[in-house]
Amino acid sequence: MKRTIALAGNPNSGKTSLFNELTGANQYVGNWPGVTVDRKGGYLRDHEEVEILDLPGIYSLSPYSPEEVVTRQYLLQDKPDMVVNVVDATNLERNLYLTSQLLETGLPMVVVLNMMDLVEQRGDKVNPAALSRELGCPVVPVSVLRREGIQELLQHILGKIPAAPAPLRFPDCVEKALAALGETLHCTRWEQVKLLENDSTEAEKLTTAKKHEAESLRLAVEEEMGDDIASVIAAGRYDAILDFIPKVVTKAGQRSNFSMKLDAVLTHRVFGLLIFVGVMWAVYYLSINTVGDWGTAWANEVLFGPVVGGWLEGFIGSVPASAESLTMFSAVLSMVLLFPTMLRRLHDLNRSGSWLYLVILPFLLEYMCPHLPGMLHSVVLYALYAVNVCILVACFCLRGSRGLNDFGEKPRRIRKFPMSLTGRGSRREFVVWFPVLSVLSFGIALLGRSTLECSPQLSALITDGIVAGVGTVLGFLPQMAVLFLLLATLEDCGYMARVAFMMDRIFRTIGLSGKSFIPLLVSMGCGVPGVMATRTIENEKDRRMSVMLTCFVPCGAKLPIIALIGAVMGQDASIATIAYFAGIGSVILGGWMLRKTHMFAGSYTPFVMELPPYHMPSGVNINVRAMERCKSFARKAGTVIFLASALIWTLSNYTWSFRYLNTKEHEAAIEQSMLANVGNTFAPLFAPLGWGDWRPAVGTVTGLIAKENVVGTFGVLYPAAEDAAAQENDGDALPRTSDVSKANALSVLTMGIWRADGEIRRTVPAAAESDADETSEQEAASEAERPNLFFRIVNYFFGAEADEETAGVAANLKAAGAFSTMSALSFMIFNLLCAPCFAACGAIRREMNSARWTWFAIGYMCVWAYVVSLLIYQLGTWASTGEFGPGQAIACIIAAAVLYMIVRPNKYTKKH
Amino acid sequence: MQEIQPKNGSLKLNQVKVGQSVRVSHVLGEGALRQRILDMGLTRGAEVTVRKMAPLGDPLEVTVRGYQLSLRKAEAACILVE
Repeated sequence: MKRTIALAGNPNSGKTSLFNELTGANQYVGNWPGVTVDRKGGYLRDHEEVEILDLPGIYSLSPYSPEEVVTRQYLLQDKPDMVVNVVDATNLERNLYLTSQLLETGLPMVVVLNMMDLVEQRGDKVNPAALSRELGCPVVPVSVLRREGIQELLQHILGKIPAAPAPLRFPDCVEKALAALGETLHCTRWEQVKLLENDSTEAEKLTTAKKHEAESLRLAVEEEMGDDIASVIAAGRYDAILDFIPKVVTKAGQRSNFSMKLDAVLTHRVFGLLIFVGVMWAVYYLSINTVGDWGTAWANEVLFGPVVGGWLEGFIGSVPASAESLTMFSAVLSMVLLFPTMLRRLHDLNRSGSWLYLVILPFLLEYMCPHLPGMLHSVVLYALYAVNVCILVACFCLRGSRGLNDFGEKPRRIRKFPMSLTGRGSRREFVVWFPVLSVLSFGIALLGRSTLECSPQLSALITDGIVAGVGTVLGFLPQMAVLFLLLATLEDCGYMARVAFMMDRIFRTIGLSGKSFIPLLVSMGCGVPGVMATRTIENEKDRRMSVMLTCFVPCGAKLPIIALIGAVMGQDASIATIAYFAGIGSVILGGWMLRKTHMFAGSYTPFVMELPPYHMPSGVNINVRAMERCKSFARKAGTVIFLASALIWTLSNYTWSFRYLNTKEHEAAIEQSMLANVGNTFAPLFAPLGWGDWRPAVGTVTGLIAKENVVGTFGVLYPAAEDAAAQENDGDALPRTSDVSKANALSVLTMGIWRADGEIRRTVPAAAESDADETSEQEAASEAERPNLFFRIVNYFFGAEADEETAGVAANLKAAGAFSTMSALSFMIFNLLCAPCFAACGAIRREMNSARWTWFAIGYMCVWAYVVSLLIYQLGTWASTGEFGPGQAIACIIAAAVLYMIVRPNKYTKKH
Repeated sequence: MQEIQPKNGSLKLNQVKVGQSVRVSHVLGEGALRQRILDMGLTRGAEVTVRKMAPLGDPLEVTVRGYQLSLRKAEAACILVE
């Protein structure tokens, strides 16, 4: 029999854990229509006909937040067959408040008393039978953590659906009014209550006469109770619950518990902040700088460089791939192909966390090991190999767990599709698929020696367009995985709520809440995980605003631009300072401005937030959440970047008559491309900003692929006057900019950091390796020349220093007289603030879940960048030369308009 | 609905000292914020203990109906207690 069960409950009631327990890995995530609230569903283990829907965690069914609205609409319009109301047994009073509202919907209901283990631990007693009598519906005591009571719940889910329970009683005068409403309007209990409450959604359906009827009844109740209706109803619910709580709960007496003690330290005035800084540093450091970045650097410089690149060259090009590259390729491919099989086998062995280890393994091998001193290096390397062999042996030899485990029922047959990531895999399956997939990957790798000699255009499209595009996306994944795992851990253990609690003071002033802190912090490394990190903000409007503002923070990829302009102007330190102030200033001003627009108005978000008790994070929850986010990123952002990079590649490699230019070998040929033409067309648009030439315009467009491309493009478009001819013939005369631009935002950031460590050899792409020693010497020299402490710090953390290549480009720019002081500044500001790279746009699209909002966000960034650059250039010119022309006049008007937008009173704010 | 003026002797929740327990007498304001405060259990007669201030002095943490709740001072100012 087909049926739909909806899980409803407060946030932190263990609803999602129960959902994971019921569905195993058998779930899907979508979005509720029109809002960015996750719609999670799944099928009951072994009972595919029972669909389970995990409704958003809410405290009430009021019509104010999007989560509440979708839940309400779903319950009332789609009418699930039964509601399973998950209730935190340690905090019945508040949890039953939602229950009292669910009772009014007239849907059959089962109440799950979760966290019974915690109740026992505290020495309290909760009587499910008594609660069942009071509520009139079945009550099942459960501990999801210990997997107790699940079977009993399953009996209710699969068995006969109980009759809809009766709602709780309000005070007599309210009941009288409700009865009167029911008589005249013939409506359900739910409608009666909502009409009496003057709930906007329900009241709309009424005729004026009936509205008056409801109105008069409401006034009578308010008169009698001496309070307004919202308060009477809410108090009525809590009082009805308090009436029977003593019959249900026996408290062992108040003791201060562990959570409270921990909280006293973690939100302490001094230690709290120190610990907070430490935790944030650790998150940033682990995900952006170390573990995540090893993965990203490995993906960019090894995987999509010599390994996949070499193989492709061999497969479709004319040079057979080397044995070394083929071995590596076959190893990586088999790892990718075998990953799902391995993962499902580990699930069968009930080793939930082991897969993480598999993910980071190749990166550890490649990146961590060369950094370690000799002896230790071999120890670590062999230890890793040994662990890997042990895992393999375990997968081959161990028997899986017999019955149910975290990941579902024991598998009975070989699954048809070996790439499925969910569920458990039997030993038989592993024994079959492991050799098959290994041989398959080896066979595919061997194709690298086939040298098909495809046309150079096709092979250029594949290597430069498609592989570079896909590589960019996949390159982000390791960092995302680490970041999401850490964030999911912080969320799951309850620390995230404290972060919001501590940071709220600062972010409230710009109209955001404390939860926006993490996205902004992560954006200093890269905007893509920054945008994705906004997921933790519950409020939809806050989240959208955070998404729009996050990309203003200068990320790692924007540093080369800062370094370039710094070198052009010969003032690195002050330029870096200006850049960071411009970014952070844009966030603050943007916050002030956007809060006053109608789109974000009325969005005064109450910061009335529960601080849930701390508890140990659950491995399964964290894994599921992190995997889910990685998958959705790869899918959605991937398509956007893929298409966009193919498009830009085509635009820059063909003339309008579709003549192929081969810009890889003849870099200067880009002047004839469609892209240059487009740049020419749009150049006048940038004239008011002081850089109306087509070349900066093209640089800005290529910056959309990845911001560091701007420097590379300038290297091509502004050849040094004396050796321009030489460069035409010999692309390597200039350090290979295209290699750098292939690496994405994150690797540039690391390059900076590792360079500061004197570790240049590992990070500079192979082509530039011969210059490496020279470069680091030069850098050491140039660093010694700059005593500015701030710049040293910025440089240490972000690497915003011109390297040899950037310095060369800067020299050419200066020689060509491309920029004046003010136009250079305006160019930099524009490129820092305008639309982010495609990867970030893809992430924005993913998080906004609406094309309209995505375009609005990107449009807003572009307009803001234009305005700021315009003001800088025009007013800057005025200040430095004293000339006042029409441009300056317009700039003054715009400045006044912006100022008005920022300081105007917020007409949507209501006084309390 | 008539405007209810704070009575003599009644305090706002943001004026309560840390560690003190009080009873909610009335919730001011309207719309989403007020509904949210009521939904979270700060209804007339509910006992509230102010536990602490956030490190930067703004949101406060209170215990109400057996759990920890954080709310901003501006929001606490809507809650009259005695």
